[in-house]
Amino acid sequence: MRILHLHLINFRNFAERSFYFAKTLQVITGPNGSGKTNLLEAVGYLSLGKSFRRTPDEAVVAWGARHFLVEGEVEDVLGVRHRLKVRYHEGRKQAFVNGKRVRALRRLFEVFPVVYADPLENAVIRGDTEERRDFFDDYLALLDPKYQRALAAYRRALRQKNMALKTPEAPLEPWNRLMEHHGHYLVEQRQYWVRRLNDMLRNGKRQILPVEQVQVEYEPSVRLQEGLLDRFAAEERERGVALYGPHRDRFHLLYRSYPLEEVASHGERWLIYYTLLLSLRDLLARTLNRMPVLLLDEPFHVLDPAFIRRLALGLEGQVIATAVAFPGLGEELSLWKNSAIL
Amino acid sequence: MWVPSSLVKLVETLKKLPGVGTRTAERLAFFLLREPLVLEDLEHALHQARENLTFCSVCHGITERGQDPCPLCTDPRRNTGQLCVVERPQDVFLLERLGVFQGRYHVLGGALSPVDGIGPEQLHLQDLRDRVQREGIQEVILALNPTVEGDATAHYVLQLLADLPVKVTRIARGLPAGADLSFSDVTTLRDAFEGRTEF
Repeated sequence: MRILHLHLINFRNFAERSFYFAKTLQVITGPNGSGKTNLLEAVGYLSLGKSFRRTPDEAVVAWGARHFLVEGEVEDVLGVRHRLKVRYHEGRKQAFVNGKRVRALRRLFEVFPVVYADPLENAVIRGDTEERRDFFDDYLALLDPKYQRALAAYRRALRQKNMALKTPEAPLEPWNRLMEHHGHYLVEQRQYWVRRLNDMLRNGKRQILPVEQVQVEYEPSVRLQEGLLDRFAAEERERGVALYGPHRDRFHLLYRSYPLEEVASHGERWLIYYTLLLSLRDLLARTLNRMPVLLLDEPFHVLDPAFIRRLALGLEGQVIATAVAFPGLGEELSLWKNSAIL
Repeated sequence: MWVPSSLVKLVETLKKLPGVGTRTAERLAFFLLREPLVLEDLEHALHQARENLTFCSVCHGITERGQDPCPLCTDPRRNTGQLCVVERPQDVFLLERLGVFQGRYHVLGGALSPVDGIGPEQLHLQDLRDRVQREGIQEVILALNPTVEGDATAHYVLQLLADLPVKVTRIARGLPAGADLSFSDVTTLRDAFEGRTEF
């Protein structure tokens, strides 16, 4: 996949701007606050239909405006071009593929997948259990539409159960049955996709990354079966919150068979993060039959020049990165097409 | 800006109706002012609705005052062995319009939803159990919404009736008739697949 051009109206700091993208590697440079990350975010809107920074739509609208528009043209591997558009106006958001309105935002991702590397809010390597689970849930939902629906149903049943736990005598069993039913699918798919991801990590054909032996370990909190969750009723009633189920499962990141938090240095953690992300990108590419565009936000801060060079030489497909000014990486960046945003 | 206060009141009241925003409310208000006969009919119909409509004490659907139990509950031609459970009174009229069901109805008055403060006591559930026992129902057909709350309510009913000699069934989820397979979304297609029956 690649994006050819992008047109923005009232998006963040852009009143109206058009951008044209290079075929493969491109680095967007500009001073702080010039809108480099906003540009990546806009590309992300054409794929996810929302902000990958989890910003609400209304906050993305330029100051003083009431609507925004993100429009772009992308090209798939066969050379077929698609026009994508996301329009937001006072609380209403609409997405279009080739001029036709699409009801599910997921359709955008199926046409134009992207993978985004976050420079700051990095849940995976910080090791927070909940954020790491959300990270994997987000990707699994993109890999499998049924997972997305099961996750939504599970979360809704969980929310109802948590409220029922705070209400004396409210029955828990109906919500437990639904959490078991949908949760069963979540656990099964988490096991399946972690296995696939580990295969990717083990057999990654391109040795872009100097880290080996990165593995993901999935640890379900309970062995789900019908009726199981009812057994915890007394304990859960006392605590007033649902304590068991896939919403408490853990994902561990292992580096040389040890938990990342215990053995990896700060720099190594970043390499592990990128390793994981590139493997997820390959997994998405195989599943969707199109290579997601890779959006790298400020990778040059955390990766050493040798690694950036390997990255540039080894990556397939379109990669768009941002960088503050020019970080003295002259030779390494010679492989990248440089565009200044301002 | 001066606007007659009665007009403001009318528009503001119309806006309380579901699906009616400012613009629609204004359009409706000016239409009614232009068409006094319609206004009169509406006035009459609203008055009648308030005076005459009530809930059936048996099925909890809508009925006229003085017709309780409702005609659907008392019609001797209807199958007394089957009871169709729905969430809202309007679901009864929907199914009646289709004419697919010849048994009797039971309206729960919603679905379980602790988040909205709806527990079993807020719904006509105990009453459902009593009816099944009293009326010798052989089959309870659940026609609840395919939502998490509808599903949870279905599980609750199943448990509620577990010790009674009654069959509990659920309407199938599936493909719309007359449409091409490729038009249906993934969920519908999957549900239709999983709920397939022998041909």
